[in-house]
Amino acid sequence: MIRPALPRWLAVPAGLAAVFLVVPLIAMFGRVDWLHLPSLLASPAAVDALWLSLRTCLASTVLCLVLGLPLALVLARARGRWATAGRVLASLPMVLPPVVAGLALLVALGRRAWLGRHLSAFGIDLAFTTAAVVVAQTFVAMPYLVVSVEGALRSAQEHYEVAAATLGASPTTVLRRVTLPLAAPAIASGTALAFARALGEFGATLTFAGSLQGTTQTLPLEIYLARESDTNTAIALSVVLLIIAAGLIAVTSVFSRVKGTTS
Amino acid sequence: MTQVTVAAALDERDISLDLSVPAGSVTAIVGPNGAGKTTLLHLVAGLLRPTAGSVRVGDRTLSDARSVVPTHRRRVALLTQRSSLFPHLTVLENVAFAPRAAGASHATARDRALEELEAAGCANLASRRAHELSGGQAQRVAIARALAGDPLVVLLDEPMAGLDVAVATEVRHVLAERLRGRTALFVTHEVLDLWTIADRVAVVDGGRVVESGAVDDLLVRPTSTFLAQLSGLTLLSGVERDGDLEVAPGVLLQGLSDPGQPLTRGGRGLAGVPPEAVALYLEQPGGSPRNALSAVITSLEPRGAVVRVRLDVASQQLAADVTTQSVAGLGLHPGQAVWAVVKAVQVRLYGR
Repeated sequence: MIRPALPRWLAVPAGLAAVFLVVPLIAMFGRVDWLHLPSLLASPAAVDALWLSLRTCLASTVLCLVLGLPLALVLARARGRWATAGRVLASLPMVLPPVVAGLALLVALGRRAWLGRHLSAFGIDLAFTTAAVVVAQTFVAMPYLVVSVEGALRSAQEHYEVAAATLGASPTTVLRRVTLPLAAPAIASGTALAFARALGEFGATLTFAGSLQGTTQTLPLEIYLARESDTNTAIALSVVLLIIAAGLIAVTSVFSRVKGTTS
Repeated sequence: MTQVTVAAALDERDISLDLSVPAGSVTAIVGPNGAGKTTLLHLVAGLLRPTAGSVRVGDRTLSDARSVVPTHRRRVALLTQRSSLFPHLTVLENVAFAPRAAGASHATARDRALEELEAAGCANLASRRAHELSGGQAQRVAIARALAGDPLVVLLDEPMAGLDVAVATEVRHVLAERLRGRTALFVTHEVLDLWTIADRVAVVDGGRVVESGAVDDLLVRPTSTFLAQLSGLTLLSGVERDGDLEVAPGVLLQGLSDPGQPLTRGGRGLAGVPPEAVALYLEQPGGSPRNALSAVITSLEPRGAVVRVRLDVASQQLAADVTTQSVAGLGLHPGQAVWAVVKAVQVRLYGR
């Protein structure tokens, strides 16, 4: 079947949109000081930022998986008004301005805050530590994992779970051998999305964790601080982020294609 | 030992099912759509909880108003129209699933799975994935998978419904062989399934089991319109008079008396009339007045080469299959008065 063609004039705005999205990226690649790229990336501030970002993002991604996956499983099964409320709350940090997210964390977990005071009593001080970076990243990134996994879990796989139960599989066995494997592509792409979001985290980190080199100064913060004083380093680090982001998007699109073939 | 006894109600859906399935027998569940057939299976599988009454397998109570044994501890297998083979596992891993879930070792589960695949005629598919199977193959693998767990009860919810005729025949053959001697409840719309797979049949209508018994008894001598339709008959009821059945005052129907359940003198009885045994005339035919019934056409349904003419005979329903040529030749139309002549040797008379 031949689908009716799109009107030709649509090519103009579509082309403009494509150019608009690509030009800034190309421009940045044009400004990269390729010759000095290795030495720029080897500067202490850059190495600290890269290393810190890597560590914190891995930690927050693991936290997203360990906590977000169970939440997605529960939300996918939940019915009724409370379930809807839960879904809205779980996805709220996605649309919240990151500065607001950081402020909310500060108000809840800061040294003088309600929950923070109780944590302080146990010798745990979160604000302005590397742990605070992880908390901020997890807070903004987890919804991406929860939302994408929950969607996959809610789409028609119930009959597989029923089949597994009639074959004698306990709830844990159903989860381990049927539910999670079937949701694996969504879990993988949700994890990649969460990692990408954590990697790009700026506002909440700055607000809640501050910007201390080697402790809380992640890649985006370092790029922001260096953008005027050391433009070349900022651009070099930006290119690193860009390449990682492109890789993550590639991973998610591969997994969403896998999902398409098996369902 | 594994007799299934359902005496359960779902109040909010006006369902109250009462059925006993003897151990080692396959009971076909038939009835109109939405009658509660699938609900009956779900009550046994533990996918629905009765609001009153109980579901028992052998001497074990699976659910009653207070407690429910979860599905996975019931040893009740369920086969549905969709095979629900796990797409991320191979055929062999699918069939080994139940033994593995029951705690068998890899090797034992594998042997058990191969055995079942062999019996279902699909050992050659062991390394395939679900999406590489045809509908019939998938359903045969699903049968092997269901039986590999050694279920006490097998539940089947129209497992052949999505398959074309040739493939359904193949699957029917496997089921007939593999279900022999097992306790099973089998929802179907196909009269062929009743003859080839089932020992017993239960009719579910309006959320109640309205009739149940041996297939031979109920299909040969149906007493409900639904079973009569399923076996391709229409039923006329009446009273015995001189060996014939008086279906309306002064209207006698002659037929062959069923030796298994003969008419009693002066007692109520039924006549099972196949639609192809009925011929239609515009004028009352001469000769014997027997088996010529005055009728009014209620509807005409084309069915391939023949037209099924539905008739009203003294407020009872009768059907006649006539050729399209005779419909045109006689100018048959709804509301028309005709004479229906029934061939006596094709009519079976029995008491009720």
